[in-house]
Amino acid sequence: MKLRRTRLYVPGNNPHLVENVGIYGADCLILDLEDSVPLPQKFDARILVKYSLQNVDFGRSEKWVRINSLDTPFWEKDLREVLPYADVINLPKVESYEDLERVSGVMEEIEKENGIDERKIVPIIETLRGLVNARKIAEHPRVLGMAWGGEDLTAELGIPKKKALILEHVRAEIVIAAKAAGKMAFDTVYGAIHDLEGLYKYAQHARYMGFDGVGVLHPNQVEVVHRAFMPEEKEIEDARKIVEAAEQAMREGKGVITVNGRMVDKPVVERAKKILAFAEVE
Amino acid sequence: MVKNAVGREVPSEINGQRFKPFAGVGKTLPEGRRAGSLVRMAPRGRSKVLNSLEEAIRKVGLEDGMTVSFHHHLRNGDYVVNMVMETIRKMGIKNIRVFPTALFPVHKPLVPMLTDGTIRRIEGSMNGPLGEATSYGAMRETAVLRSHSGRVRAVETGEVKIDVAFIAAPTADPYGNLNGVDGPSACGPLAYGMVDAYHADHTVAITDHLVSYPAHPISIYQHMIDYVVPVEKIGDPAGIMSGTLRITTSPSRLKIARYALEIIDRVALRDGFSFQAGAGGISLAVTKFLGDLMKKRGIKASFINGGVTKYVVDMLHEGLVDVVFDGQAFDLDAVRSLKEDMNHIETPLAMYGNPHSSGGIVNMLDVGVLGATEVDVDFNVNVNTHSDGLLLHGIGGHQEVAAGSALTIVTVPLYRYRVPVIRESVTTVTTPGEVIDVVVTERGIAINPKRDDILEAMRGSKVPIYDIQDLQKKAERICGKPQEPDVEDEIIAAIMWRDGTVIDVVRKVKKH
Repeated sequence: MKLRRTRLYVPGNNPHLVENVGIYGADCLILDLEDSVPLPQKFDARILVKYSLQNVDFGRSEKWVRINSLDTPFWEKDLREVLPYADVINLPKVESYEDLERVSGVMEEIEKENGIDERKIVPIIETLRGLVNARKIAEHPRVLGMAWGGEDLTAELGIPKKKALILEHVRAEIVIAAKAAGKMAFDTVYGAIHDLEGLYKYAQHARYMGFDGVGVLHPNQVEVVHRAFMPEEKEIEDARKIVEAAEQAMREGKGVITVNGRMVDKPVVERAKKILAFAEVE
Repeated sequence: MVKNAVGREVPSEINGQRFKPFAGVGKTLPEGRRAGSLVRMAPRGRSKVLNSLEEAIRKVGLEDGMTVSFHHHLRNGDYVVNMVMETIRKMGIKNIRVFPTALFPVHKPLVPMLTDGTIRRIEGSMNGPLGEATSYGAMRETAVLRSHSGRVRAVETGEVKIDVAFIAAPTADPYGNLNGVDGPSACGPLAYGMVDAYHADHTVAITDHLVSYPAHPISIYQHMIDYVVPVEKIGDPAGIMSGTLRITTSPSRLKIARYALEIIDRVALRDGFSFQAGAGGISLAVTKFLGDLMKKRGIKASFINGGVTKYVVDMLHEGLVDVVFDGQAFDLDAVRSLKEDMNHIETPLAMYGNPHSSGGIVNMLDVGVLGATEVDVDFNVNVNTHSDGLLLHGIGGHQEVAAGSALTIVTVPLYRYRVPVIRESVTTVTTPGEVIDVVVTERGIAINPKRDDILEAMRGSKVPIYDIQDLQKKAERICGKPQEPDVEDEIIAAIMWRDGTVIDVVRKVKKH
């Protein structure tokens, strides 16, 4: 199972930050062409990201690019420049299944032209309309997982983001939409970059909400989030027993898996496998 | 010129004095007896307090061609070196050999004295403008750079004879008892000045805090001090103390510190272990992280040798270490602790690491974490010159800690400003690769092949381990192959190994 506990954002217009970003061990890197790049630098950033993807050593991190949203004139050019070299496209402000169809069509063309495999999309749900359509969006075959952002959504409601109780519901809805479609769920970033204790609690909360990872804005946050996603000793021990029992049942051709005399269902085995993956146990 | 043990061509004569080439660590043995100073007397009733530096210089009989020494506890806040040298210049005394422990950018006023005949050469660390001026050929004779304790050895053996030691004293009494823990220019220990006080023919203390007899505590004793000159100010506290030093916030530097910490954890961390602390950004981070880890594991160190900062003092006061040895204090927390805590001990530089003595503190060190300007594929380290050939830094205690510690870690970024730090060959060899065990960069570490035990201890670690050649290639893939510095044949400085042999030379840089 591919872990995506951390997605480290790096502004696509800053070569100094881009060159070192692979050394921090983040599961995914998001080279950003959207919010962290000011309007006059959109073109420069696109070219820098294109060449960085080809030449910089990003270590073991998966290479994502956040392109500009569909309501801008940039998204298609972004795709044409970076898609052949990126692993995943992070698409902001997705509101409908049709949005994905539109992007997917262009992606298909580029993939054919370049003779490359199908690339996945992680849509970011940032509006009430997007939230309403989230379950349908998650079902799109290109979707790898669902992410969300609270800024626009709380602005729509006219409430301060820091006090917005509704965000807890939004989180739950994103997880439900993603998981029901068999996709991953990604929680948003924790903005207070120097508050590592707060980040640890935030990431643990995300884990127990059912998210697979959170966004990070600073390299120092990576290790903290990985630690927060590390299952407890007891969880690992139990998971190991369940997986071993399942493997044994498979070898012996038994349909029923038992651990300590109790029957174990398939979803429990799947959960155990996921726990071991998070514990990075081979 | 002869080729030494690290393959560098070095002269056998420098400024008319014979020197042996570096033969390998521990290969050159001591000879002869310790040198003495002039025997003097101070009859009852004679005052030591003088009205001016000029009067002191007259009384000690400073003449053309003599050697004057200084310590650098006041660092970049020091007024004393400039004050004394300006007085010497005004008095028309020429051809002085300046023998400081180290000079800083604040000592830039000495640059014109290199060419006006006042100074014939400097033997000591030159951080910044004096090193740069020397690199371009401003000094008449050849500069000689020694490590902290290599300098002590040179004095004790008579290789360097100090005629007059001018000792900046944050506190002094009228009869010459000195300390560095009180007064407006407090700097902590006076460790660097001790050997000069013992071995100079004449000694002059310069103070801005004259207290009634006896000053206490005492770092340098009255029987070694001939005269005391009160002045308005000996330094600027802002340049003497660093304020509270902050741990680096650079994520790549923190990555380096974390890798170093894991090596220490796997190789050396146990009850009663010891380590060398410093004040560099990475070094501070390692100290802080190490303290946190020791707390978590319930481990207590026997001693920390410093380079003392608040982070070290906190560890002492939290009971994480029994004793702090202090040769240099970097902040007011360190000064306060040295004054108040019996377990915070001021250590003479002779005790720190003189290789030709009955054993220094560094011989008892388990771990030393050091920096570098360059490291090469033979693990040789340069701390003196930059890749453009300019002489900009002193040796400090680099050689002592590297040679003494059971585990010596060098922490460096893979490249700085697009110049590779890991290279085929260092511009200048300061410390030979045979005493460097691990090189740590933000992209991974390289272990000296001599240290199978460390390689074994790191098995199963997530720290990326490479051959040092691979680290070099990584740096060159990003930055390209570094250009050789553009230098002439003329030697402007000699770099001494701590045993008094010549390990390398620095050549004059062409001006464009």
